[in-house]
Amino acid sequence: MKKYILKRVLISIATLLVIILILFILMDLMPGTPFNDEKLTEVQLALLYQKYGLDKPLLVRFFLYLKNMITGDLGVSYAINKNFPISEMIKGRLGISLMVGAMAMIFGTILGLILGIVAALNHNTWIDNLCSVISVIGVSVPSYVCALLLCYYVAFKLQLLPILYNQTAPFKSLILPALALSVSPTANVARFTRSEMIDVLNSDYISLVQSKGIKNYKVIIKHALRNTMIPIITVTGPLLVNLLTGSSVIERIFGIPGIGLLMISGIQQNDYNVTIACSFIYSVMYIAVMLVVDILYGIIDPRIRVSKEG
Amino acid sequence: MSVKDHEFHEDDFLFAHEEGKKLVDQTFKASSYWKDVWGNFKKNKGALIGAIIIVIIILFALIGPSMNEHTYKSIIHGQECLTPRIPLIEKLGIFNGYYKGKDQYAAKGFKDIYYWFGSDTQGRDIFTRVWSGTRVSLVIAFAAVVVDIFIGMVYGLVSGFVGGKVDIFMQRVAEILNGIPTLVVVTLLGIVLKPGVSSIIFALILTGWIGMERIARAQVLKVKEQEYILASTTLGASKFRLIFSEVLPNIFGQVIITSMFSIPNAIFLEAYLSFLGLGVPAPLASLGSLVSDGYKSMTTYPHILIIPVVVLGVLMLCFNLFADGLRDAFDPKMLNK
Amino acid sequence: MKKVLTILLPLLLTVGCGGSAATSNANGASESGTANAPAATTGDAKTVVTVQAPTPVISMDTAIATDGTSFIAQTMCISGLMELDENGLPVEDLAESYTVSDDGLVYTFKIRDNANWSNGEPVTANDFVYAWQRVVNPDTASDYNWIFETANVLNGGCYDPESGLEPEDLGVVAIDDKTLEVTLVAPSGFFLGLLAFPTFFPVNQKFAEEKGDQFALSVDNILACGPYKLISWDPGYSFEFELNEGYWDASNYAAKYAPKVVFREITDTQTALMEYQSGNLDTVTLSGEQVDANRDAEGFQNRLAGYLFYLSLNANNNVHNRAGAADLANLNVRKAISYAIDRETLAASLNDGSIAAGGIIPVALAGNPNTGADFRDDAGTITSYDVDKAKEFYQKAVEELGHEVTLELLYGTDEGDSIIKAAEQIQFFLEEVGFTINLNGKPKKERLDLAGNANEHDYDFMLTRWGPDYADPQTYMDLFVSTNTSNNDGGYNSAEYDALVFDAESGAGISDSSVRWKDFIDAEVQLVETDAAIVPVFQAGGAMIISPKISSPEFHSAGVDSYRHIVIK
Repeated sequence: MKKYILKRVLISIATLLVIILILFILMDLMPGTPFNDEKLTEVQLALLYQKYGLDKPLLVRFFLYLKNMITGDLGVSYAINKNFPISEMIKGRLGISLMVGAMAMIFGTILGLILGIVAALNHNTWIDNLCSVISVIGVSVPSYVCALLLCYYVAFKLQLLPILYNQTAPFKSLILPALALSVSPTANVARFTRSEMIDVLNSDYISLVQSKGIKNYKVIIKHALRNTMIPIITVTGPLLVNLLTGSSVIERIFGIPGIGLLMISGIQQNDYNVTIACSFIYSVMYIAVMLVVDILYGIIDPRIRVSKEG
Repeated sequence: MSVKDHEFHEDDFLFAHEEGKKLVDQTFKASSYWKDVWGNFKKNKGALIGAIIIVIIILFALIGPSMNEHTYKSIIHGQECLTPRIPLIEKLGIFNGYYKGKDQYAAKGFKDIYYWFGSDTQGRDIFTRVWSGTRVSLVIAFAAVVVDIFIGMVYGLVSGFVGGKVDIFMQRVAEILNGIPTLVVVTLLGIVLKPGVSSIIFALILTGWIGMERIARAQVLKVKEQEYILASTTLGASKFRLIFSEVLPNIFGQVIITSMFSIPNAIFLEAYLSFLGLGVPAPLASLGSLVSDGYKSMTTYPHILIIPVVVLGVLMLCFNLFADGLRDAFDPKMLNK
Repeated sequence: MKKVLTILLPLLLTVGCGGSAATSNANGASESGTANAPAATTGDAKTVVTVQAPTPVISMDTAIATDGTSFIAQTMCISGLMELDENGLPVEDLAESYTVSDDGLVYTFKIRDNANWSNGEPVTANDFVYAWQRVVNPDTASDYNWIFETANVLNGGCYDPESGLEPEDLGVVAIDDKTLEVTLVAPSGFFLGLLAFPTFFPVNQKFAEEKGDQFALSVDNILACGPYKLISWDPGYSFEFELNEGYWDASNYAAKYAPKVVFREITDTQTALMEYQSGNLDTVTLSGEQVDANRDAEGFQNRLAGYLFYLSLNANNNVHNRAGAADLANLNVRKAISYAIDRETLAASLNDGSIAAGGIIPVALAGNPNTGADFRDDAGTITSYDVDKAKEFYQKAVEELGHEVTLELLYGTDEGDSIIKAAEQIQFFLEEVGFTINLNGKPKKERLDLAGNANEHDYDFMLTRWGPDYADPQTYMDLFVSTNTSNNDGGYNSAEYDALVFDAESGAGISDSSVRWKDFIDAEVQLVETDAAIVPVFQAGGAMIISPKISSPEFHSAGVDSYRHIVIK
């Protein structure tokens, strides 16, 4: 098992290196410059390229970047916060993004589980249909529309929560953004829970437990839910990663200084180092989640491990 | 008295519970797999209605844009931001062109002008734009399914079935593709190609199939260990034959369902990109771009937002119901519960 | 299933209707003077002004910044020799007085004795010399290193390593600690105004060299010499200023102006407006969609921005042999375009305070040096909308060319919603006349790249803008001279135009400001009316609401908006 994990970790690191290289190539293909093209002359552009080392060949820049990265230096921003070290820019923002993402995930999982379980227990009744409709509305209304509705009614009309992100009360002011973000994970988790739960509830061992006269809610919590959780955990991992980057729109609406918005600005303004750093964080999280899921699978079900080692 | 002497009559016994019912063996006509699926699907009313509404929406997407004199880009100055007004229905008190308690049309002196879904901030007909936008979104949805099946499924099948080094390599490639944020890929494509439908489809081709690939692979891994595959292998079946004639039919249900669920995702990808200004190019509309345009007027002229959101919502709901129905139809276990 | 639909549809509909009903309430509230504002400011008198910053601060380094928000932040905490008053005219700030030599070439500034940095050190003449040399030094790689050349400062071209000049050659000298002498190569009417521009602000040499790479990157690495000092800077969230007791005019500021000004970065216009209506913001910018509902709100105003949007026509740089660009070489095609666009209607439909462009020089940019009349008033409106004439020109063009004209309009997709709308409107107007117009939307970087030298002008015509760097027509006129290879994307090449601009800037105009003025008026007619080389479309505006509790910030069409003089009422 240890050998398997070690091997997977090494492969993941290699994958990450390839991703950085591809990001470098992509940045190189981006037209335009990170600078204020509108008013710059050729001479000035040449000066800027020289100053930031952008005149060097791609591979040289790539290895320099890797070398600096080991020491925690992700370069400086060219356009968004000029000459700012990127590691500084990301440090503050990552925490906020993680917090929104985690809150959204918690809301989403809890709401999704409730919806899914209620639907499964009332399979093929109107309650089941209602739960499905709620979760479909969740996936069919864009999160920014939900965000604005929440903002308007909960924060503006009822004044229950702050409209915008507020640094002095981060938790309170992140509830609305997290709720708006949790709409799609709620729907996903609900759908998964429902179908897994139906499967489990119809399996022989649950019938056995029920026939032994154990109370219904105990059956659900102790036996059915536990077996439902395993596949659900595997869906929530990748969802979490998507949340962290998918939150850019929400960040914009609520004025949250997060990493999603930073990545979008990086792309739009050709701020290469910012884009690469943000994308890299995304990649690291994605690959880490995949790695954990794979390893978990290996632990849960030895057959998969064997076939993977093939 | 011995048993031999006793003669049994039919009325010696009574059914304990189900009085009057007799168990008689029936012979069912042998029906094919697909016939079963169709039969199961028909029984699911939700799925059927979903399918019918999808067809209706497709019809509107085809003929809607030419149902009145407007085109998706024609502008009429002075007729901006009118609320919906439909002949006849206006008498019922809805779709009557009222805005904040005032008849907008009367206020501007329009008598015979009807915007069925209202007009937008530039004086364009929302009815025409919504249906031509639906057309664009459906094209994207269709592309997503094709990409899912032809790239995702095949990739997952091969990777899972062949296994070993090939599997590891293919999984790493998929991981790398998915490890690069879609946004970076789409932006770049939007710049290299023309921004719009083609670059979104291209982005789907590059990364849209990974979810399907993972599911197809997982299904293959499950099926692969089963006895019938082993039997087939020992009988000397080739790998190609095994994948496509033994494994594929057994995972097809799951694949169809997954691809149906990827439709909303694709439409949403486009909507999300529209919000960031990377969607279809103006003046073309998509449901996503209409929603993000309407978003800006949400607190002032909500009809500009509500109409595309309702169409998008109904479309998504129907695709979901349809996909759910398909899943149940493909999975006989689900029906009897 | 029926149930499902009957639940879904009303639900979505009620959500929508609820939205509209509630909107009217909110507007009602704002009309009656933000009646639903929370009691945040009751009790104590209001001491903090919170304004919306729609874009972030990019740099606090005066040599590096290029964007409006950064400049606004810099003018809060750093002062130059001059500042702009509410009318946009330069008045002394750190300079106590100045003298100009008779030939208008040598300026001598006396710096105030009580002008100090926030670390207690005096602001000296050397701080200016150091700052200016820093801008032109290639190591700094400043985007504004050319500005001394534009300001006619002696050896302003020293930023170019190939000029053979060193930064030390720049015509600025510290006579003593408090006396600064600047030498120009030619008199400049807008030089004093430029001194209020942050690129001309001083930098404390010792402090900057001590901080090195970290200079101006955080609150601790910035020295203030202006009326406010930066007390917190959280990129993406906010930046805050408090009155600077060390400022030379501190007592006056303490008596009159807001003790604390907080800039909150909010991009989304809808939540920003809600935040304003809740009483948490004192200024808010509105999108075109929000204007109608808020036009009557107290404090609503349309401000004119300096940006002028025009169509750059690629008539002479058709390296890629584009069919559309080839047709643009025909004068009748260009004239048809100019006459076809109903600029008034277009500007009105943007609904954000934009106005139709009467020429390439925006309104309120520069005044007649003798009478003070606005350039636009003197030059008149030289663009016009006449659909019949447009059709006539188009027909003539079709006859001459032998085919209908199809053009591709390049525009920016990330430069605001107004630009996309404007592109759609232009398409509509031109197609009414007979053109076939394809829209090609690209992010700004890519748009400039396509039209510029990097891609050898691969475009037909482009909706682009120019923001004035200083309050003089020259900032626009220089764009279209044939020798300007950086901005004259369409390759406009007219001997008459070049001669007029040359006469204004380097000929008779040097000694006679009214000749210069007349030359510019004639040059504009040549460019826009006679040759129709470019098609001015609209001057950008900005709709805002400013809380009645504060006095308005001062907006300048050229130069930096001033948030220094906000009074709490």
